[in-house]
Amino acid sequence: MLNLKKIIAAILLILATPLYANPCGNWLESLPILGGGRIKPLAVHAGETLKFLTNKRKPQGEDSVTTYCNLATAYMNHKNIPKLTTPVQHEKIREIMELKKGQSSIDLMKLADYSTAIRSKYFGEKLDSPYKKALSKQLTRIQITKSIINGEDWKIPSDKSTTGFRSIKDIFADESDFVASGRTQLEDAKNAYIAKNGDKYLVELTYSKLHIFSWAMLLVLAGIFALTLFKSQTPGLVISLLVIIVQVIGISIRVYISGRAPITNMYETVMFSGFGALVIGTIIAMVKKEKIFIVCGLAYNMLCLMMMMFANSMLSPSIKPLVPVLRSNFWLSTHVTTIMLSYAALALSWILANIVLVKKRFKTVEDKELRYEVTLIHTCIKVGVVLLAAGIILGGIWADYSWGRFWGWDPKETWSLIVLLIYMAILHGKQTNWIPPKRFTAMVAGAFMSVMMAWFGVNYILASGLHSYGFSEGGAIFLATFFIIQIAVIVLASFGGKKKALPST
Amino acid sequence: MILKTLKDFEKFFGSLKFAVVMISVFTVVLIIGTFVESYYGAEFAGKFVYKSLPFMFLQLCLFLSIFCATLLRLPPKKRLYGFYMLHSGLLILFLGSFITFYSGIDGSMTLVPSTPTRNISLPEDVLTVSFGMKRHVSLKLPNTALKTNLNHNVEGIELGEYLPFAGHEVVWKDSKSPIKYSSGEYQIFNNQVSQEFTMSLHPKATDFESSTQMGPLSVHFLPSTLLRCFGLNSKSGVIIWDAKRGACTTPEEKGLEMQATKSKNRYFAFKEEGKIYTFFPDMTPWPLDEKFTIISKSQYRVFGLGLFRDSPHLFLFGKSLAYYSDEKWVIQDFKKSGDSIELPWMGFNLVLKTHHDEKYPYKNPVYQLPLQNGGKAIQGTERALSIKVMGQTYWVKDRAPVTIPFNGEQVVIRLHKKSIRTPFEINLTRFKMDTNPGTMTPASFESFVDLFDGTSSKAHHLFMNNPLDYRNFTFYQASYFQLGQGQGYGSVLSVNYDPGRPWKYLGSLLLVLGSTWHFYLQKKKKKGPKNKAKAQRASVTKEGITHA
Repeated sequence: MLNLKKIIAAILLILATPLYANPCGNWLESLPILGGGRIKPLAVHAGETLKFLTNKRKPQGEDSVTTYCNLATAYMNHKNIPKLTTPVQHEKIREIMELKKGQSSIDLMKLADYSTAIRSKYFGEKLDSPYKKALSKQLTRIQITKSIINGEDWKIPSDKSTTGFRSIKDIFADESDFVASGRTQLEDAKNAYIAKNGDKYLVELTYSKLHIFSWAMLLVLAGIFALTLFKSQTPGLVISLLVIIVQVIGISIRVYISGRAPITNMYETVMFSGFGALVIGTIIAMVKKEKIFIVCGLAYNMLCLMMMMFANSMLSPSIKPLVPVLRSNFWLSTHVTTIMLSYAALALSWILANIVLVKKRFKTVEDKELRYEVTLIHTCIKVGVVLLAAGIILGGIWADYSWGRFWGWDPKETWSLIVLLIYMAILHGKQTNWIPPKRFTAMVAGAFMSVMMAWFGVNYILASGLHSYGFSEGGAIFLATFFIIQIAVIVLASFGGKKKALPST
Repeated sequence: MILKTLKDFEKFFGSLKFAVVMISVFTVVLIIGTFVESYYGAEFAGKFVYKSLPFMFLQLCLFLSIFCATLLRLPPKKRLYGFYMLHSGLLILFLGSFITFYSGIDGSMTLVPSTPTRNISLPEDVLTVSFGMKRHVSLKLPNTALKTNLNHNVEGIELGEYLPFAGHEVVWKDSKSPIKYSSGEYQIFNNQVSQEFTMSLHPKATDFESSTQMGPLSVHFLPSTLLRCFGLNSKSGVIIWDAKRGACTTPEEKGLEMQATKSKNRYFAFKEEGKIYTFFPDMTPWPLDEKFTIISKSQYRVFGLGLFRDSPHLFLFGKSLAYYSDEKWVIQDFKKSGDSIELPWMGFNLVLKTHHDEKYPYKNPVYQLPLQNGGKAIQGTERALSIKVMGQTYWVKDRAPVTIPFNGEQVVIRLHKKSIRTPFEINLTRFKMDTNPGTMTPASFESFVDLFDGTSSKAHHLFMNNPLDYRNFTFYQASYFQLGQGQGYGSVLSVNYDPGRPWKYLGSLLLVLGSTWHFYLQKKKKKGPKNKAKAQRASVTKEGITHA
């Protein structure tokens, strides 16, 4: 009997060995990890880290957790160390790394060889030029890579440390250790963590898997179709209400994860303004029985969703801890929300104005119709400026409360005032004969450029310093493209097109 | 007649077109202001745009425009209640801002742990002339961004050119001294970095040091008479420096024998003019007398070269240099200015740019447009004022006051920030900075302070978004600084006193409520989408007033 037991045990062991050969696998996705100053599921951390290092969430084709796990255990010198490459965008850095012509990436493991060269170039650059920023990004990549392959980046829950987390290299000395007990130890660590702190952090895993905003995007598309296909407003209204519900769910989960108002970085403000515009547009449409507001709301929402999906180098979706000065949920949620809602309302007026401009270019527009359209635009602007004035004042009160000054001519606050003043000039000018309806539309379309400047330009152009020729960077390119297209639309719509004399006011 | 002029005045300033022009001009100026600030920094933008007289004038015009526009629409009409509220809110807001500008305080308080402070530093630049210890004359410097000639006389001291933003160029001045003091300008470089530096032993060269640290490398500038002892490669590695004669020697040259105490401390001694000098070269540079007390005024000093062997030290002697490499001291000479010498560390080369014995270097202030990078000023950070006293011209710099004998007393002239003293005392007991777990990024800054008002002391805790209010002053956590390696942190609080605050809040409230009311009323007048254009027209009647 004893022998039989031994044999069965041996067979079981043989069967089990391949399973335990390498504990790295997607099953680790729900393991809590301490990264970037907060606790998140490993899947989120792995995806974000690999994306930062290689520009791809799944550089190996396999899931990011497995790749990350294999990379983070590289200090054990095992066979599965993934061969990853990291992109090198800047021409001068390619020269430092002695890359051949046409070669735009380098083996991740070789990155650290250029650490000294890049560091000395970095300190040699006096001003924050795009080159210096590229060097800084490379240095961060080097540092993160080093930390990962030395087994320091992967922090596993452990009672033996004051932070509650220990690096993987402090837990597993070598490969055999990891193969033998990795699975059980990691599972135990996770269970112990959940038993102590709860499994709230797992919401983020669900959130990352649900792709809520991709679904919202599909719905928005459907909504736009419905509005163009059917004469009635109802199908479009129903779909836009659905979109609002889906986005409320998405935003709520994000708020639940981060524990703060959903407006703390560019990604979140884009998300929130798209949502706000749809809400405002739907409300106005329901009150005024005018479906064009829903069209505008959905169109702007679509633009925002597209930015969130495709402009990841400019808008980072990852949730990061807040800088100390923003840690006031009350002011954050009142001031920034008000400003974002005002930008959303102004965005509606912008879309509407552009629609009118383009329509006028290709179709004869009756004087009466144009006047009606101007009142529609005017409605959005009224909502926008009242909210903006309130938002600026709330910002002043917050600044007064936490820094001791109501107004300090800081570029962000100055630009929000510029936006308000530009719209005020247009609204006041509209009452004189200087701004007839045709010019009003063009001016409203152009005025949104000031919103873009206040929203993105201050961060991407002014804050990085003008002398650094910041225009070669993602955010600045985006803005410049936006300005050029908008100006082109206004110019093309003003010259040529169906002419019909408009009596001036 | 006067009434008619007043009416015309009111109509002009209260017209919609004037409002549109003023809003547009103001907007353009603001846009320029933000670009100026991005390029030249906040201080320059403040002086050049936001606190300049033309900008004040512009704000006055806006105020007049709103004021007259409101007057024009009186007596009150029910339809315009929102309008009145909105525009009077704006006027009150302007008023509140003016009160803040005129009588508010916006300064900062720098706190070092366990050092009670009463000093609030304000942003205004001040010139103070101190006659002797007792009499001080202070003068507020103009709020200008550009080079300005003050053309002012303070009791015989002529104030000339004022540079609110300055850098400097190094010039060589004649020392007019019989004693020769060495000074030199060098450039150190390898294929990655390059740095220029100037060093001097001249007592008048107060802007320059005789030793400096560049990363791991220490550079020492020494009198050339010391050079020969570095080349002796003496067995003891000890150099005896005679400050009186300006000469050096070694124990070996003097025929002195190095001995050791029981605890194996090296020492040697010699007798001169009946005095015995005992040296422990590894313990102190000063000699000991017969009673083993330190002779700190001795002309003799010793130092062991062994101290400089473990880390890179570069010794400069004007046209020569010495360093320790490959177990021996190496001495090299520059034959002429522009020569380059290879150093044994990381491919570094040293170039002698100039060397003088009869001249000394001086930092001559020049006006420099400031430049900001990442929120920090990196150029034009100095301030300077040229003064003329009894035919002699001097530069007073914010980092270097000038002291001159004048009418039989010492006159000290300083450029500094205005400051005021509080009737209470603040003492930083502890500064705490928390980081986000597992990272170096800060999560909170907190100051624990004791506030002493003359009778009792009370503890307070300040952090971001949690200021301290005391006797109309408000203290906010603004910044922090490191006191030195491992010595903890000091804290900077911003201090604020704002009598315009209630007005600004009232104005804001009226503005928001008024604008909501204004737009809401307009909306109520319209019925159905088709009448909108008409309603729009109706609201244009306001314009009728301006054209009347």
